Amino acid sequence: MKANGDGRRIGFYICHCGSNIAATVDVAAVANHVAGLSGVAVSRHYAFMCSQPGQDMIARDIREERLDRVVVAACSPMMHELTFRNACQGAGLNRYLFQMANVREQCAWVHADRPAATEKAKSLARAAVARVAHQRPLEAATIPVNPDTLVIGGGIAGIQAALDLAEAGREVWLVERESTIGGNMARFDKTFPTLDCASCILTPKMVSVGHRKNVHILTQSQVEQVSGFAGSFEARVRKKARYVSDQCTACQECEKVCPVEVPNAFDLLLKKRKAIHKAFPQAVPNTYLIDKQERPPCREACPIGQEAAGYVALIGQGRFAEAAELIRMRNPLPVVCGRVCYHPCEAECNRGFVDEPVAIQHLKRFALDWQEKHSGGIPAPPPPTERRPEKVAIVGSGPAGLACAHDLATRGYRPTVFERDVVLGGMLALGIPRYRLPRERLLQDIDFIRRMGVEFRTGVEVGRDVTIGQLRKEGYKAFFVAAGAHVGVPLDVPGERLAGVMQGVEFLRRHALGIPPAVGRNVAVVGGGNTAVDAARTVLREGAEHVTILYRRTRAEMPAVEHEIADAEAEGVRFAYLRAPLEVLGEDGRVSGLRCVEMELGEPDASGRRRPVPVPGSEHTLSFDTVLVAIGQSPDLSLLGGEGLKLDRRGTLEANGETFATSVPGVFGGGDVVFGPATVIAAMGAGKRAAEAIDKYLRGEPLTDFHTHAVPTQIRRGESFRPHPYAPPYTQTPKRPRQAMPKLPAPDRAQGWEEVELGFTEEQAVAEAQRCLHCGVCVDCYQCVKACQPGAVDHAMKDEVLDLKVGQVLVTTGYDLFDPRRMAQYGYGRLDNVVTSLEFERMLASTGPTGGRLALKNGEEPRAVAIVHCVGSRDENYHRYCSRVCCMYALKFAHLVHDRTRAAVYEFYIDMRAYGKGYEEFYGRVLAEGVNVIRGKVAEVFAAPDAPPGEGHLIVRAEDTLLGKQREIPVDMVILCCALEPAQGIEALRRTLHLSQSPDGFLLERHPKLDPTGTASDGIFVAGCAQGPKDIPDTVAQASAAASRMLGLIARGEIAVDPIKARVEPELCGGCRICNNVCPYNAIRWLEDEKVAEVLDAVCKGCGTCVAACPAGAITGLGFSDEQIYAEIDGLLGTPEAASRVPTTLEARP
Amino acid sequence: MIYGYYPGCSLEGASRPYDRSLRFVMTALGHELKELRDWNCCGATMYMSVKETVALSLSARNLALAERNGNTLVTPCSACYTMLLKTQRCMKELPGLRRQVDEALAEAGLSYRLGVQVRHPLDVIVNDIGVEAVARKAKRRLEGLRIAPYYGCQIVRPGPAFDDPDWPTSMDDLFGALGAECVYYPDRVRCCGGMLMTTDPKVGEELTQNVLDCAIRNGAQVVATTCPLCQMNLETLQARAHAREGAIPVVFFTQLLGLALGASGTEMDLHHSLVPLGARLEELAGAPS
Amino acid sequence: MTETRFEPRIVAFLCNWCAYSGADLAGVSRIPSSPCVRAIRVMCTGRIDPGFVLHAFASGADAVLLAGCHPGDCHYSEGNYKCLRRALALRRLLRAFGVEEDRVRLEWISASEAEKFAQVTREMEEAVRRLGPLRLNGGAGPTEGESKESGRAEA
Repeated sequence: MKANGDGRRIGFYICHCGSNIAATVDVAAVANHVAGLSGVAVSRHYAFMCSQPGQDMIARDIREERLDRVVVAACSPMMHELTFRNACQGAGLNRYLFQMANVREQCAWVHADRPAATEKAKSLARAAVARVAHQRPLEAATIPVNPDTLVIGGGIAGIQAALDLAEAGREVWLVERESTIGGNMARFDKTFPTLDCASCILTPKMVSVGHRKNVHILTQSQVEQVSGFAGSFEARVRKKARYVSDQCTACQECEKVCPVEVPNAFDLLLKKRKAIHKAFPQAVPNTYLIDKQERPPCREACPIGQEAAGYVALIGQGRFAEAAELIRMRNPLPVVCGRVCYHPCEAECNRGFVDEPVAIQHLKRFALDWQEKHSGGIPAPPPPTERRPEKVAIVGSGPAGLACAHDLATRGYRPTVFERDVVLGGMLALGIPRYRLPRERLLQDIDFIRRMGVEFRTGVEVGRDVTIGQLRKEGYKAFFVAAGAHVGVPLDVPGERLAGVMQGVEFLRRHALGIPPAVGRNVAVVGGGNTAVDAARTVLREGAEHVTILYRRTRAEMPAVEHEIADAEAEGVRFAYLRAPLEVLGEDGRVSGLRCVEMELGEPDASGRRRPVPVPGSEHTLSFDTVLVAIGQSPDLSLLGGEGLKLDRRGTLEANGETFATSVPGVFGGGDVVFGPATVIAAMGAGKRAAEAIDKYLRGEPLTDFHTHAVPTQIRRGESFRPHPYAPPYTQTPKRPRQAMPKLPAPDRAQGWEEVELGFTEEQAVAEAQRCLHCGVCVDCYQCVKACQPGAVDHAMKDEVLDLKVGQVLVTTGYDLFDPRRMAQYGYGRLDNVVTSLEFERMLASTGPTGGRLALKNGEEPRAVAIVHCVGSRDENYHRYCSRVCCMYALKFAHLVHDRTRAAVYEFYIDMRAYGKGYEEFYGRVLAEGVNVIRGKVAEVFAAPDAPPGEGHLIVRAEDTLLGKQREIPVDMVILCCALEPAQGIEALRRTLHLSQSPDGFLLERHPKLDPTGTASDGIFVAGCAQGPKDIPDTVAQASAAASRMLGLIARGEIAVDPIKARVEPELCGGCRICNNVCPYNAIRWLEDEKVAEVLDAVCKGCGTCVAACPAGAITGLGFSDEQIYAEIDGLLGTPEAASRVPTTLEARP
Repeated sequence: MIYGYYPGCSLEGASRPYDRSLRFVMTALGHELKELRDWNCCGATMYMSVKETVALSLSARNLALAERNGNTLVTPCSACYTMLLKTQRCMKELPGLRRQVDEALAEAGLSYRLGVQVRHPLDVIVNDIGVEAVARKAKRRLEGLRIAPYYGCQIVRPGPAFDDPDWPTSMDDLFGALGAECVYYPDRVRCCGGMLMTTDPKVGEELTQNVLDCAIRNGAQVVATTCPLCQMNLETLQARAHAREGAIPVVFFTQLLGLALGASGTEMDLHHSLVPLGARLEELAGAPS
Repeated sequence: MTETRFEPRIVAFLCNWCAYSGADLAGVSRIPSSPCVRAIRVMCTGRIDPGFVLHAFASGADAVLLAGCHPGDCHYSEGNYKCLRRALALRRLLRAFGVEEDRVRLEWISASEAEKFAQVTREMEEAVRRLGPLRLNGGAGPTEGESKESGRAEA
């Protein structure tokens, strides 16, 4: 070490730390040893180096012995490095010319063998001495402290700290995960030992923190990332949308009209609340919020995004008029949908996982029928918000055209609809038979649209009677082509031209127009779609004797709607499955039958359905006198082709899938004409989207970010999901079968044309609607919007992301309760009347589920109650620590049970811990009240085997360790005093803040005794149960302590930043730029002109990764330079013989 | 698959029915038990307290032998099971002890590299083969039989084990799937009296009686055990002069399983029971042949 | 110190935030650890230059322990990953020099894992006792001057 030490005057001091070090380490020997090292001017040992005399000794030597370096071998640098650095500085020595050797925590305390420990102490001392010789004076830069503070967690700790900081006039951001501040304390009824009511002492604090101008409360918010360092942190906070603005006056009107009720998490699911709610009456902020989880699948699945769950919920409450209004708000053809929509919503309905989907479509029909009957017919359309001058032409009055017209009208346009036929409605009028959709019903919807200011021109075929070009001249600015798909696809087998062979669509069409073609008695219908079934049921009503549907697959694969097939069967239509026609046979020009072949199902084809393949040698003949072909439809574009519109391969109109724009500017297309034959609701969806597109087009806006609903490709749902977090799993939801739709008896209906389905009665409707599970909690019925006078409700609200700049951070995230399900032997979740402490708190609270009354599940008052201590605490299998509060609140429970009932109380405890002010006295008082205390951990809780049915009581088995006997005690209720655990989510936060945790999982304080509120990271503090289980007084005290610590720094206004940073020597830098990539903070800038790297002091945190990475050795780690560490290694390993030349230890003379 | 099999001494003595029924069950379920060649005493639980290293070395020898062929060793006796597991653990966690045991093994030209998995048949049947698979293979339903599954203290304690130490359910699931009704009774994991029978019979008998009373009071018709010692204690006590009223048969869980899988009562040695089988079990067991 | 018994010398590079605090906690909780292990504190394992390890061996260490925060816990986000990569590369290098793998050990030790730290030190001592002293170019513990040279050469 000569090389290192030469010319230095190093002072070495080893501390006895009373006997802490001296007992295991021969301090004199170490001092002796070090005295012999080169460069060491002074080497002493002393009882307490950290004491004033000890520090003075150093100062004196620095002056008198002209020391230029100091080493102290004592405790961990975490403990006293600062102390000694200050001492050095005080004596005029640069504080960074000091080094510490840790011979207590990492030597004396962990070794028993004195010689070995002494040897180790020597080498640690040598290392420090060798290192210090290479240390250079450093100057700590100071940066200004941002006076604002971030407090994470709005429990009593967070509130207290926020108040203290606010008192001092500082800005505070108080971030809380829940919808209200108050934390767990807000759930309590009384507090021990004084028994004053929790809300009486908490709510005033909540209110005053809420009123502070300089406290910014962010509820439903979580800290996502934190960067920077003490004095200037940057925090990103995500604030979940509340859907209610702070104009809310908490008048409760919205709550009254909300149709959805779910269990309230604040009451641990013991009490119900509405979807729009406040956690509890005294919540702060005193603003309602809407609980919006995932959108209900029924709405997601609907091409027009109809609020199905919304009107279902309203019907469930008998609010039929509101339901109908809600439907009409979005739906252009509500009456039609109520009857013929093939309801994709029901296919996605989560109720299906319990029993059967909710009969959404029938309910819709019911609501509209009811509206018509009871609220004076169809209401008048709402006046448009604005007027748009541009003329728009819509080609085709089918569902797509009508929907488009409707939405354009609501947007203020007065579109014209051109219909080729004499009747309006397209397929609705010409495809769907009357017995499913009576004409007058269809007209109701069309009239409604007409009354919105839409003009209809029938008998005008665009392309023949008038061209798009001419219409442009008439001033039409935009066009929507929705001509539908009315041309039947031919069978193309021999004999298709014979008389008596007809397209199904054509047959239905002529029928609807009142010019039905002649049909025979024995009719075959080829095809499996809705058209086939409609044709079959219609021709049956035309008087055919036998109607047979031939389908090449099986019933399972039939595309027609299931209940239509069932109805057809009921009416006597025959079905021949796995049958395909090869030829139409004829006699003198008329059909006589079909030559068919039997099929079997092979591999699945593109559509996912199994491909039918002919069975060899299965050919046979069936005789018919009429054949209706219904195997598909395609659009008739013969005329539109002339308008310069591009067609695609499938012979349909080409249009962009999202914007619906065709190849011709200003012309849009949608519905069957574009997508091929689909459903009414799909066509309507297209119409609405087209309306939005046209509106954007006419306003000259880009055709992007559409608001009209688009069905997601994948709707999140499945067995494992729940409708919402507070709902029981599907398997535990009580089954309630779906209401059956009343219908005309099959025999009668096969003759007539009356509507087959008669509609629900009110009772049926309500019963059916109440089967809804309220997926996503809020079901978008918008009743709250109507009810809210201040207009505070906004269902379109979005989550916000805030970037906060603060100087310091306080973590007060509190605790969660241990889940006693993990201790199956206590029967929680399995046995009624086994409750957790927090549930019991709510039971006691006057605002709780029972209004403060003590009751069993069956409503009766308990005769005996067992209170079990240490559930999950002081237990090797779960948490070894003591949760500290349980004994006392258990006694509080005992007192309150006595207070409110005549029940006997048994306390099962391990040790009674009454360590706080007035606690022991409280214990005494409760004992005096006659509580039975049994010392012994409960082994298990089980239902009494031979209890008379009905009053099944529980038996608590435990060993009474004082009597040394096993006891089995019958009780009615068991309260489990569960351990306090670090709040869930703490792990994520811990990582964002780079904090450490103690073995028990709570956040690690800087020092267990001397710094219980600080953390290893400067500027980040912790208080309350986030740091460890504690009661309210301790929590409040710790919070205030943290606050004053932070105020101290704020008052100082600036903070010294450790000069431990990286520095690049430009002349050595090779410009390889490796350092740029290794730095996690991008603190290294590349100077393009000089072609060298440069460290940005303000950003560098001094981890030294770049120093180790620099191949040129051009980067120095100030305070941790290469030569310092190399020297340290040498010192550590230096052979002991090399030492002790001049054995001159100077006796310490304080 | 083929499982290494360590019967242990009791299965060659008083508990032969356990051995026979277990072999039948495994075959019926399509698996094979390959008995360990030249196995010796497991080192017995109480030997531990006399001479730890010797006890460990004894049981380590079995593990060493097992390691040569295959890596699982199934052992039905709860005591053997705990003992072998304990050895496993000691050797893993106490390097000092391990060195001594290694030396002992070396003497016998053996070595053990901790490569063996010690399994209890209940674990294998419920977790490897699976309750559904067993139910599918069942030839007979155990409907109307009210079973008190008795887990005793050793197979799931101290844990972590193949089932919850305080709340084991594997036997309940198994018999439940076979149509039987498993009664819940608190004593299902309590001590059977164990060796106290020999050292302090008064206390031992009290403990045994507790278990029996509890099972009977909760309406059980038969107790199903997994342990030779438990079985002996529970059964013999009832056969004694001063036994209480309302005796209840105590059989190995494999004997009932065997019945379900089509064996006759005779094949399952049910008629060896010192206690009358009771109507329903009689019926299932059929007449002795 | 008598030369009769081999006294392993193990250098431990501990990161300030996790491993070093863990070692301190071991002290506070009085958990016995091996006196052969002697710590050098660095701010982050990312600071550990492979040269340090080579130098330690060159100047007579029989084994080296690198200990830092658990993955995801690094106070500087990712220094421990850097250390991991370097350690792996270093292993291969040392193998080429004939240094047994057991002589270099990388461990993630959080500030709360006092028990683990002590355990690791005891295991390492045991391991090194089994391996015996490291004999680089024939001799352990060269004098400072020399070792500095060789250290530089490798650094």
